[in-house]
Amino acid sequence: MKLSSSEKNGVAILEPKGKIMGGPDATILHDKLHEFIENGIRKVVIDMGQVEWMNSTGLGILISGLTTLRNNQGELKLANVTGKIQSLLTITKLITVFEAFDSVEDAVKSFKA
Amino acid sequence: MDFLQSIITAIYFAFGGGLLFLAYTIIKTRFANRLNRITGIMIFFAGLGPIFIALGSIISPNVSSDAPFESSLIHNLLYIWELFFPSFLLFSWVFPVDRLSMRKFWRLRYLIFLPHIFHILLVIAFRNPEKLLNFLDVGSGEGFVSLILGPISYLLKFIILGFSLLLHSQETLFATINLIYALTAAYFIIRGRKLVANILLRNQISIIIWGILIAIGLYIIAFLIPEMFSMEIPALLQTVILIVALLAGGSSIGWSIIKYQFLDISLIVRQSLVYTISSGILVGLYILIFGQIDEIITATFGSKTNIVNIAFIILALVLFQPINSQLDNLIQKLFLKNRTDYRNIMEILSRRLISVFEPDQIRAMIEKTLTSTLLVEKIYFILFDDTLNEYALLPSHDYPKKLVISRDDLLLGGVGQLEAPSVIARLAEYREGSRLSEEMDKRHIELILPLKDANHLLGFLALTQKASGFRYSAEDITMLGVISNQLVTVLTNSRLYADSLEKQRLDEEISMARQIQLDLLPKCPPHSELFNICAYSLPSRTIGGDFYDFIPKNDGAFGIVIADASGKGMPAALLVTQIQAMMRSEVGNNMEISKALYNVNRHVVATTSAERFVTLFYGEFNPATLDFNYANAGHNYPILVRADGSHELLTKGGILLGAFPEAKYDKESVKLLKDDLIFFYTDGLSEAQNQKDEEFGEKRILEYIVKNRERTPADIVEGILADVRRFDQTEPPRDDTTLVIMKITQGF
Repeated sequence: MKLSSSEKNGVAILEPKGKIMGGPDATILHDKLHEFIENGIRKVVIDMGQVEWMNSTGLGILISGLTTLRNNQGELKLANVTGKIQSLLTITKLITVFEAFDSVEDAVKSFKA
Repeated sequence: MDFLQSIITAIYFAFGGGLLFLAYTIIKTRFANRLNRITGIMIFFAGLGPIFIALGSIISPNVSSDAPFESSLIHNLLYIWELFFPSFLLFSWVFPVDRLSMRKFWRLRYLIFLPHIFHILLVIAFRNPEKLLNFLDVGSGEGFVSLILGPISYLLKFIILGFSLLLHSQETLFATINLIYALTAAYFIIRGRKLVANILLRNQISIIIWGILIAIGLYIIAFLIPEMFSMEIPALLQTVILIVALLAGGSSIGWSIIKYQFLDISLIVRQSLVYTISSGILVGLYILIFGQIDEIITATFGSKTNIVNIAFIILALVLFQPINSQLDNLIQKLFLKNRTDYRNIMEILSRRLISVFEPDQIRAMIEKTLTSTLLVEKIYFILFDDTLNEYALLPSHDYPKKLVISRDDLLLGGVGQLEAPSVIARLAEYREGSRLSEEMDKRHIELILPLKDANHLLGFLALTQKASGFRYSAEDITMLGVISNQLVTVLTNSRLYADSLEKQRLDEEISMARQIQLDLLPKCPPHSELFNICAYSLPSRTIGGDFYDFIPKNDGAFGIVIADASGKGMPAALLVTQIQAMMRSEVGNNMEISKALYNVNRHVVATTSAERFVTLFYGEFNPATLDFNYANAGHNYPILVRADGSHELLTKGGILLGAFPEAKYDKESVKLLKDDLIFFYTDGLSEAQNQKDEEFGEKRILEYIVKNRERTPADIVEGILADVRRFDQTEPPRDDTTLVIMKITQGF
């Protein structure tokens, strides 16, 4: 997994690319989220558009990210959730806790509302 | 001079010469060392004895009868030899333990030489007292001069007469003095031996002590006691005893030097010493044989010929090389191929170290090698301790407490900079405020041997000075460098070995865990003529995060559980084991399905970290009514296939277990009919991938089940597994795979 990040209107946008799996990926994402929290950013959007695949450990990373942000009065939203990941979120019913949007813009906008 | 006399003379010369050479070598090798100087002086004086005797026996036959040998100058010079006794006493003060450097008035030690110097002067000056008296009588004339000189000359005469009397009894007197010296020295040496701890040092000391004591004892018996009590001993017996005494004393010191590194004389010098002694013996043999043959030839042919000489030279030319190399081999075998030869030490040490993996044994072996070969007094090990994750100064006999050394310790940092063994003095700039440095001072550390693996410091060896008091030579330091490199390899191997043992132990534990996990799966599914169940589970590793279970209920119904924990291997296995127990407990307590999952979820949230979760499907089947009630906690949807080929997915329930404490789970109910079947599975099946990275997927599963719905559950399990294995041939399978099929065989 490769991870790039940007910021828009006080909302951090994370763009993972490739496969989100166990091992170092967990640490990278976890550290990044904590970095945001320390810098006072508590609104995060993860753009899933370029994620090819995610295993159960990857899913665990997302869940722990959401929990971490919520414990710090923040929120984690997903954007561009498609195909395989959409079905993964549906089966596990995580779709009921993650807000998912068709685009990053929509997700960012949703924070203002 | 008869034959026996000439042999004895030759032997005396050989011994005397040998001892003088030994003395020269010892002093020359390490002049700076007091022990070497004193030993050298002692051996020098000991060597003078046989030389003087030999010279005396050559000269005496030529001296006319009115000037007997006893009063000749050469005989009187013999008394120089007696300086051996004070130097022997001096030797006993520095060997085996140096007592002199501790004494305040050690400069006074040379006073012990005074009686013997006086003795020599006395003997030389007064060997003809009558002449002296006559000389003094010249002044006894008339007049003023004689008036003054008279009393003086009488006084002098009186003194001279006194000395003359002394001269007459001098042999007895000095025999007594020498005896006292020898016994005192013997006392000091024997006392000193008890103070020595090093085994090798004790060996060399024992040999030297026995050699010298035998020599002195023999000398006392053969010479001093007869002289003290004016006894007569046959001259030949005296000679034989003297030769034995010289042999014992000289060879004990020579042997210790060659075999036990006494006086720290280097290998090359020791080697040359051996060669010199052996060639001396050869020359002696030549002289004897030559002399004898020459006499026979002269007697036979009546005149001298050169033929023997020429024959000997030819013989020597022909035989020299083979004899020399044979001698060389013999010497190597006898003396040099032993534990003081560095190459030999390395060879033996590396051979032994290969078979040892126990760190304690490795340390013991290194300690033994260094103390017995290099005479290192004490060795301390400072090694990185894997369990402490710190460096530690390991316990020793004198400091039985293990000390943890901080990684920031300044001296430790200094040692880390070293590439080769180094004296601790060179690390002076790394010492201030260092705890390690204090400890090193306490232990009188002299040399540091860093143990480095690439750039990582495994620790170091701290060596005190040598037991013999000598400094470490360049040769020693080179060898210590080689030994420490070897130690690094051995220590690394020992760690790898320990790791592999640990891994083996872990493997055994895991296979035991696998057995436990297999035992936790139901031996055989519930069965009756109403329904038919087949279940299958295969972990991708030895143990896995999938499980299925059938839990009987009181009302004749039973629960079916299928679950998949996130991750793989041991962590996932531990999690599912916990879940399985919880589910059994909830169902056993007749908890309603929604409530059961709610409870389990709260437990899992409380006991695991946020990123760990479990997807689980739980259904309860009542064979009496064919009702199937279930709740799906984020698990792959089980497929209900009806007899007519239509299907529905069992999706109702709630979010996966273990992530959100307040999650709620809805219960759903379906009515089953004859020939309906439900297919439960985990994602190991649906996410099997072919070489094009395509997944086997829910669609293929569904199609297969619908198509094969009329077959028995066992056939369907076998068939779909075969299909999936054809699709994804990865070995071992990517993920844990579990499937359960329940088919209703009789309806109402």
